[in-house]
Amino acid sequence: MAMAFPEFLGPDDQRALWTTLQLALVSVALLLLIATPIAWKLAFARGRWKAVAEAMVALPLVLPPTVMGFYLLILLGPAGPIGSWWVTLTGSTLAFSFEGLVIASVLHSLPFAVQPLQNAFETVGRERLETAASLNASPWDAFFSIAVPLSLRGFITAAVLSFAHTLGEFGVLLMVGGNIPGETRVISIAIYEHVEVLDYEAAHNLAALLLIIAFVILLGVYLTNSRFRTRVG
Amino acid sequence: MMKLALDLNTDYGAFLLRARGEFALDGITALFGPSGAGKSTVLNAIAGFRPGIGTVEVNNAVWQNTTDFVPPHRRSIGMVFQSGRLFAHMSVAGNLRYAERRAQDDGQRISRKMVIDALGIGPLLSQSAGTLSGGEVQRVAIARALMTKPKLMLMDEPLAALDRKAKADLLGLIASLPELFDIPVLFVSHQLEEITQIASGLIAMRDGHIIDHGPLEKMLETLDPMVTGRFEAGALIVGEAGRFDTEYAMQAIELGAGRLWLPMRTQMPVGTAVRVRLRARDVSIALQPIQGLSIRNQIPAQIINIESEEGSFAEVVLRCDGQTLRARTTRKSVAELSLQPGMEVIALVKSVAFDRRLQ
Repeated sequence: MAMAFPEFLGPDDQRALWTTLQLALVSVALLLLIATPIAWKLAFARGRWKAVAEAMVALPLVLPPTVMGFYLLILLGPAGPIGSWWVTLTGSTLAFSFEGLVIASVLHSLPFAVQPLQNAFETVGRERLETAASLNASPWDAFFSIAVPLSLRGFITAAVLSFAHTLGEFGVLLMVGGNIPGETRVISIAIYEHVEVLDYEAAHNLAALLLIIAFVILLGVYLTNSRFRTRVG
Repeated sequence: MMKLALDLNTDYGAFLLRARGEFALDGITALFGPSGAGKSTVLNAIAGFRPGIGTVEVNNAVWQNTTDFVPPHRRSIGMVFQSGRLFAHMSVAGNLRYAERRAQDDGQRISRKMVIDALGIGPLLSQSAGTLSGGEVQRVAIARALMTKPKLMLMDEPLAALDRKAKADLLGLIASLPELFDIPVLFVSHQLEEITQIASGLIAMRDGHIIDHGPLEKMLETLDPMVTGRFEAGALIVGEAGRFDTEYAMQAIELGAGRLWLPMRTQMPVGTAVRVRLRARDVSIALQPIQGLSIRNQIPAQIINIESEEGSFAEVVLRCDGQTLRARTTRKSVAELSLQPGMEVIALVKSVAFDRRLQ
C-alpha cells in the first residue's frame, strides 16, 4: 500500500507508514489475546477488587502519555527489571526497539480493547453461561459456542478501536521508542518532525492520510455497531 | 429410584440456608415452600451453580462437598429455568442440537424423535427461538434439557410465567415425563395447585430449612397451614368412583362411610380410585345432618384435633373412614358448638375439586 504513492510520500514517510501499520496489526493481535481474558474476568468478577482492576485497566485513558512512557522507559530500559531480563534473553535492548514499541502500544491501548469486550461479555451474562453448563458445555465450550458468537460486535469494536488508537499514538511511543527510521519512527512522530523542520507540505500529506484512515475506521465501527445492534440486541 | 442427600449451609446477608436430608426421588417430587424459602438455591446447588455451600450426593456419588466439586457440565442433570432461557440467537432445532451434541452417550433411552413427539414441538423446529410464546418456550426448554439425556430433571418454577391455559397443558406434559423417559423430576414450586396435580412426593422448605418430606398425600395432611399458605390448607382424599348422575353431571365418589358428589362432564368407570382435594375453607362442621341446605356433601366424621390460631380462626382436624380432612372455622364456632376431640360430627363440604385418577 505504501508503494502506491511513491511521489505522495517520501521514502522515510513510507517506511514510517509501514512501521505504523505493522505496529498496529501486531498490537491488535496481541491485544485481543490479552484483553479477552482480562475482560472476561472483569465481566464476571464481583467485589472490591473488580473496581481496582477496572481502574488499572482504564489508567491509560487519563494518564498523560509522557507519564506512561516515562515509567515504561524505566521498566524496559537496559537497567530496568524487564529490560535487563530481555537483554540477557535476546542480547538487544527493549527500549528504542520495535518490540519495545509493541509493548508500549499494547499497554496504552489496553482499555480500548478491554472495555468493548467487557461490555459484550456482560451482555452475554452469567445466566446464558449457566444454561450452557446445564447442557453439558464445559467453560471453554460455552465460551466458544455461546459467548464468542454473541460478542462478535465487541470483538470487532475492540480490534478496530485499538487499531485506530495505535495509529494515533505519539507520546508514549516517542518516550519508549525514540525516532529511529524504519524501526521506531511512526507516522505521528514523522509528522512532528516535519513540522519541526517547517516542511509543512510533507506534514500535510501524512496528516491528511491519518485523518482519512481514522475517519474510515471509526465510520466502519459505527456502521457495524448499528447493523449488529438489531441482530443481537 | 434416585437417592439424593443434601447438607447445605450458607448465608446471604440475613438469609440462612440450612437444608439437609436424604430423599428418594421417584416420579415427580415437588420442592415446595413460600417465595424466599431457599428452593431455588437448593436446586442450583444440585445443578452445580453454588460451589462451596455444602454437600450434594446423588446415588452415593459425591457431587460436591468441602473438598470435591463436580462442575455443572459433568453432572447428569437437565435443568429447566423459570424463563426457559432458550438461546434466542438460534433456531429451536439449533437449541436442541446444542444439547444433543453434548449428550452423554446413553443408548436409546431418550431419542430426538421421542422428545420432539412427546413435547409436540415438531412444527416449531425451524422457527427462531426468540419468536415463541411462553408456553412454547417452556416446551422447547424441556425438550432441550431432555436432549442431554440426563439422569435427573430439575425444574425451577417452569410454569410461573405462563397463562392458565398454557400452564394446564404443560402440567400434563410434565406429569408424563418420568414414565416416558424413565427419569425422576425435582419440581420447584410455591403453587400447591400445580403440585397436587402432578407430584407424588413433596419436600417442604421454609426460611432456608427443609422442614419435612414424604409422600404427597401424607404431607398435605400434616403440613402446617402456615407453610402451605393459610387458605390453601386442605386434604387429599381417596375414594372410589360410584354411580354417575347423567342429568346433573355429577359423579359420586364413595368414601366408605360417606359419599361426595363431584361435578364432572363424563362418567368414570365404577370402581376407579379417584383422588379429590378438599380445601379447609370449603369444609364446615355441623352436629347433625342438616336438611334444606344447598350443600349436598355431608359426611360423618370424628374430630381428632382442634388447632386454634392466634386471632379469630381455628382448624378442626377430622377423620373420616381412616382419612384426614381439615375444616376451617372460627374459634367462636368451636366454643359455641362445644367441639371437642373425639366428637362425632358431620363435615359439610361445599366444594370438591377433582385431583387425579390413581391407576
